[in-house]
Amino acid sequence: MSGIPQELIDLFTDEAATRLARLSEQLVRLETTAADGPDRAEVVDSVFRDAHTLKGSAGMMGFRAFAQVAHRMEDLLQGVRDRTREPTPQLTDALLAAVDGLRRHLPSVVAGESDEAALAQLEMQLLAAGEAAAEAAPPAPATADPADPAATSGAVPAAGRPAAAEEGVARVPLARIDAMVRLTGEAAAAHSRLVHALHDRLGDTAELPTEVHSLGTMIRELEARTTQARTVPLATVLEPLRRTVRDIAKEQSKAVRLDVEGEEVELDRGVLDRLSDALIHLVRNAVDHGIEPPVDRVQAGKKAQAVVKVSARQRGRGVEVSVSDDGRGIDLDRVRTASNEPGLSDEEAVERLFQPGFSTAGAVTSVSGRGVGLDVVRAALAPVRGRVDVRTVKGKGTTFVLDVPLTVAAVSSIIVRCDGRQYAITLAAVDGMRPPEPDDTPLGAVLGVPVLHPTATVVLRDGERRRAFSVDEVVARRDTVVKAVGALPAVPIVAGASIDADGRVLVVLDAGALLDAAEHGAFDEPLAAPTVEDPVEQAEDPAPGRRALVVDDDAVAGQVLSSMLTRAGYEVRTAANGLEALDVLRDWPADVALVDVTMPVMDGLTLTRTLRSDPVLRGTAVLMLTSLGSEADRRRGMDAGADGYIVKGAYTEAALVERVAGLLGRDA
Amino acid sequence: MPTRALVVDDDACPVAVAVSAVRSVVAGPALTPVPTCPPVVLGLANVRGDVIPVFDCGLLLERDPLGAAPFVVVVETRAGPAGLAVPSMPRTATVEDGDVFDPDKVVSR
Repeated sequence: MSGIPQELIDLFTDEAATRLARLSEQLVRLETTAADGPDRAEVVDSVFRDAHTLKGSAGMMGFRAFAQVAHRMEDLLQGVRDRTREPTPQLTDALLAAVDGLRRHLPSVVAGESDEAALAQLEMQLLAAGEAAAEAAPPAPATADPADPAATSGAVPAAGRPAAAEEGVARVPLARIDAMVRLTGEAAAAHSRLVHALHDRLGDTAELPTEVHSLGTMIRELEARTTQARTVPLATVLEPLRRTVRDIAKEQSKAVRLDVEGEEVELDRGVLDRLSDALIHLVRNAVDHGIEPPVDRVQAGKKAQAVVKVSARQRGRGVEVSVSDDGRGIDLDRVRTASNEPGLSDEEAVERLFQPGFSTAGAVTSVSGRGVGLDVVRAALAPVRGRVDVRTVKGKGTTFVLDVPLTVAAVSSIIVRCDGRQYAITLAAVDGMRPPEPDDTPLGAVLGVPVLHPTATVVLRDGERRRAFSVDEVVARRDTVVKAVGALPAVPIVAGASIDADGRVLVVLDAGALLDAAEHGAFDEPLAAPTVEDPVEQAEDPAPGRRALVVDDDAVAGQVLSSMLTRAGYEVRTAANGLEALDVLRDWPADVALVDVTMPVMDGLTLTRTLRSDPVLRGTAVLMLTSLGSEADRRRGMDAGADGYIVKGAYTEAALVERVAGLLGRDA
Repeated sequence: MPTRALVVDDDACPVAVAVSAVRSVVAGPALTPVPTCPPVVLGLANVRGDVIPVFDCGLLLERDPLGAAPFVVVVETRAGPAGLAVPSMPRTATVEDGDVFDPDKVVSR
């Protein structure tokens, strides 16, 4: 648009998008709010206020056709507000169609290329809907409260809750926040380099000036606050879910209620964008295919109105979001039939639903309709290293549990060395680490660098695929800020780059591409042969129904233990400290907890003592696993109530599994 | 049309880049090789907090490879910043438009 500063256009675009999203959400709410309910006035005021403000700001910007549609919406809502018009389903449909139309046209309107005819058409549809609604529902007597001047004068309601919530809020383009996050990250790296340089000059044991430590503290605080500025509440992605539930349920004549819990949980904007796609997909699947028609539900002894529930809660450094429904559940027998694999376990059958292509088979779309495009959900979460699990009970319903990180700004990685160079691999792709074996694939061979003397092997996984890569050394575990390198030619095995503490660039490797390269490239060594401790062999002697909780603040150690126990047939969950462990155990009682001693928030000794005094959880077997190896440490652990004590690094996988089985056997 | 440009006169890599496309010139940055990448990419460099790929200007101009980056001209491309490794410090000069190197050529490779 000529003559209007771009910043003003950006501001209008942002505000209009926000108001239209809220209108969509509140109109759906209006439809389900009782006419005499306590929330009715608040909802009506909210939609009226948004339509009114949209009209005003679009008019001020000179977007006349856009403003005209908003004006017609305001007219209709004025009637609802003064109770001369009922918000019938037809009227709500028309208003929602207008909202959708304005959202669709917003980009072209602000670009000065608005389709005047299409917007005029929207306006006409609103006029027609208003007339139809007036004919269908005679006006109710006005019951305006004379004490409420806004209700009698038609004035715009004073700022209610939404407006109040915006007090003191500045709208800032995301790109500016991203730039601040990047700069503070760089400041942290520069500070780290400064500390290194000072120690190089003054000696490793030299005491650095207090200012250097203060600067570090301030930068870390600044980093935390700027990263926090990128976070937004889950509530911001709920509006499309409400629309999805409403629209599909209406189309299929189903009665479905969407319940939401934890909408205040905050996530990184980048994570939330990905999560949003996955949630829409899952909610659509739930209503479209998971929920039975009302008649079938009643015959099955259920309430006619189905419930789809989205809930979120923070767990350690991640967020767990679940989408559950009380529909028909997934018929796993039909999955087995469709995949021609009658011997599949329940877990394997569920896993089939996530395979690309599997969902396109006609037979599977009839498996409660589930499986349709579930690979899309996993693919949506993959870039933010999210995971999805499924729990389903035939006839009772299905729950999808999505685990996503709080932020994508910093990612836990391991740093490995090959031929003198260091590479980062995100920890989420690491299935375990162990000493090298002859059949491991040398990582150097995949990277095209000389293979020296491997001292460690990193087992990487990508979905169901696993492969062992030997490396010269596993250097460290570190939080890395992964940056894209836009102008770099496509190199599949490079996921991005990070800047190390010394200022050098660290290449971040893509685990999936490494597996591809190893499987399809010139690296045709067989997969790491099963050993005594290999999952293939141990899986034949599983511990059915056994649950194990690994409690360790060291993510690498936690991953390694989880992998060992999973291979031994245990269902495994992890927690980063004692408090988190108690949280997990209350929802998911485990048979055994493998507990580190030294942890933040709540240490392993306190956790063990708490478990022993808990009437419900006192039966949980506790195996302490720690680097504290003295007799006094061992005694402290046993005195706290541990059933066993193993020193980290002084056990083999087989010994650990045997020890855990022994504990459970004794208890069984 | 005459254009202000950074010009490298060295025979190994004679190149002119429009001043408007240049972000900075860096002397001998540390490079991290990128595994499995074609030789035209000498490596990745940290330039004021941005990670940029550095291209061998000799190979870009279909000459002998430089194999090193004594100086790097950081340019803006449509895919983000990139570095052109050149053998000597560029000077500023006015050249004809047709003689100017198009930075987007590095991302179309």
